[in-house]
Amino acid sequence: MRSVNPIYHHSSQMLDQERDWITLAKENPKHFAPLYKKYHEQIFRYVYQRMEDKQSAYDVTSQVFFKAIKNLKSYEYRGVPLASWLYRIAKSEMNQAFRDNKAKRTINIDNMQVATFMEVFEEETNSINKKRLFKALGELNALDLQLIELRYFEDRAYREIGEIISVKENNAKVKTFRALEKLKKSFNKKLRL
Amino acid sequence: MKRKVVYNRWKIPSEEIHQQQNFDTILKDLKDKSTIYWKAIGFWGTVGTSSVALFFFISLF
Repeated sequence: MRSVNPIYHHSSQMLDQERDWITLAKENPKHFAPLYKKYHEQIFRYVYQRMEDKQSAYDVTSQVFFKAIKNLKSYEYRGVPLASWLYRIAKSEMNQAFRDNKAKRTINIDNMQVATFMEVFEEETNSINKKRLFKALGELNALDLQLIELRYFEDRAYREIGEIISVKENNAKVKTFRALEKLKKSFNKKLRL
Repeated sequence: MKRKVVYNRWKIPSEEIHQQQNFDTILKDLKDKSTIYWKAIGFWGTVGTSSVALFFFISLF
């Protein structure tokens, strides 16, 4: 059973509230406080999922909000939660941190996620298959890895994935399916070697 | 880019993440950085271009 991100699934009332906060924050950055409080943990977890070091993840998260407040005047409300914009800033800030060697790109996976993949691949969960999976994950390109992480590690809806990677919901679904196919192919390739 | 796979990492509790919230520091940084606009390359680029344009304008007339 796929869990639902409660912060993502906004009611129209919550979206209106968020839009009001954004309007106020455009006038005075102090009014960004409720949005910071609402999204800090969510953005931190997104960053930390992809980083090895906790302190670097906190630093990048602070930088994400700094950039968001600084550039808020250019933000246009499009009927979706502010989170999708924050994720795009987070992705850019993380890439900068990786380029500057301030942080190392990390793939965090737990036993439940390994079991899910093994079920999808119709394979047994054992240490050899686990190693094959880790190797296959490491070989994916950046976009495919992001899609796998968003869908299979973080349980996000295709609509939310689409907003994060700036594509339509259906396109996100197709791209995620193709990413999974590539992962499966890479996983099976390791078997033949 | 080389990636490292971390298996079964300990999950940070929400309380710890909340303790790391630093909205006031972000606001302070924003204020500090917005007041030093004259250190920005863009500022001196604009000032320089305007000065050169003004110089030519005065020289011509």
